[in-house]
Amino acid sequence: MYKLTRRRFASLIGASATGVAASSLAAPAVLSAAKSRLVVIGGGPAGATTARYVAKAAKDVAVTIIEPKHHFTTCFFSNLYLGGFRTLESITHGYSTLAAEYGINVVHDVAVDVDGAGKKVKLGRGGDLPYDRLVVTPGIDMRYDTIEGYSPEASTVMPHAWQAGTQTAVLKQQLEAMEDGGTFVMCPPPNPFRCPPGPYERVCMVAHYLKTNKPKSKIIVLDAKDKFSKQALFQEAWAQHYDGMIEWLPKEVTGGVKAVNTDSMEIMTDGETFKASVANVIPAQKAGVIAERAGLTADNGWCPIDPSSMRSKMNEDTFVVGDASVASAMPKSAFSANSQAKVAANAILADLTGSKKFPAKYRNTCWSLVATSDGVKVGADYAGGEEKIDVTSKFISKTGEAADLRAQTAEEANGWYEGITKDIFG
Amino acid sequence: MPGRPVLAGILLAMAHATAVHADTQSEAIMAILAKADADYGEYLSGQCATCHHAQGKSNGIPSVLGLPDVYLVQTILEYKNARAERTNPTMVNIAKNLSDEEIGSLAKFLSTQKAE
Repeated sequence: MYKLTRRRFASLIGASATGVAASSLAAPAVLSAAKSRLVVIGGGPAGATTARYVAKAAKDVAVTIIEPKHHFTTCFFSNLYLGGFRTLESITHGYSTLAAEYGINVVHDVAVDVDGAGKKVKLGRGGDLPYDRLVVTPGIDMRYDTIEGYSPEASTVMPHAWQAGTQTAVLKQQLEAMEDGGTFVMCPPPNPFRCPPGPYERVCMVAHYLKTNKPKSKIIVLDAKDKFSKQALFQEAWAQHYDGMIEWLPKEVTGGVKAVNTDSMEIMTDGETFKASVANVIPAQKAGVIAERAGLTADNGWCPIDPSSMRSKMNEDTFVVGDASVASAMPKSAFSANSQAKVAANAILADLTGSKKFPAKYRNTCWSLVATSDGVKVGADYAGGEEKIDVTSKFISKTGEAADLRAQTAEEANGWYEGITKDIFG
Repeated sequence: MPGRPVLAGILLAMAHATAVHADTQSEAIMAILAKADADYGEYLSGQCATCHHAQGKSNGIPSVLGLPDVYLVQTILEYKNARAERTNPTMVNIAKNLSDEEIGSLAKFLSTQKAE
């Protein structure tokens, strides 16, 4: 396994974080010297779960989460909001239980830089947070420059809605304002990206909304890929529930999306221009920006980790959990992040308290709602191998399943949502 | 989902139905429980808590907290061996990756937990 020496790591961080040490501010004197300190950047499924599992197991570890948002809207189940099956409030969670019941210090600020050699996180409002172990869970950022004309500003007109909250609400409002007979154009991203079945579940949920409210409308999917997760199951659902409404065009047909124009609401592929009433443009992705600033990313924009612990391969005091990590066979999903968090928490506890380190075992299951009371799922178990996280076994729903089984799977997904959000936010 | 009294009834019925094999079966279960490591069980149970509610609710996915360890071992083995009534592909997939030590450890730990 590839490991950096401390000396090599220090030189890397020195190169990437020049100036931080010189401008270092006095650390807030809030932590007892007797306690070891865990700082977690990001309060999503990866970060909050890791923090909660460490805090739950060890009262003598001071746990801090740095998260700018006071409320977290989950990207998982946000498609159900678009379909009209959930309210935005029902998928939005606060941090009060983590603070009150687990004693976690939740700092609502932005982590702007990491001094890996000095073991400090620099906060946006000033000051440094010192740590003994650091967990970096920034999720994803968009590669806006991969589509000409797309940008953070353009995403207010053509939302990606791939980070939940305002973006999701904008897309929902646009769908509600769309005329009957309009065209919804979705551009799913190239691999690897957050939630591989997500774009296609979204197609189902938008189709459900349009079929119910605006049945003359059409959906065009301009994919950056030639195949996708649960493809047979989604295509079966599209034919069964939304016949004639959805046209999926793979990359081999269009060449993929090259440019967008938010003024004319046009999306350009190699040889064709598509006019959209509502456009959902989901660009290529990379690890959240703080991971790069902290020197944790490889050339591909994602963070390599030790598959036995989620420990960064760039810094032995740092763990990267969730979408930002290169977790090999595991998809980027909230379930994966929540699962990885428990392996990371076990390794962090072993580092800080000397407790036993157990073998790395991971799991993922992705449920998708394709229509009312019609759910499908895919999942796998994984183990930390020498070089990567390997699949040990997997399963997937079958096409042609009976309606009662599909209804049970849809209900199971609701149970999972309640379970995982309690497991993340307490 | 069955409540505790119903569950107790099911357990009782199962006990009667399998009376013939009871001795060998319970010996096998006891052997598995003898290998249990509750700390390992606590660690492994983190992967269960993603779906099985820590609050012990049974909403779409049943609670597994505070059930008898023997029943938990038996149930996981039924998934592992894909018994007719244990068809949920998620649980079948999970169970087939668990060793006897892991099954025993999980059952031991989960049986000691109370709903929050």
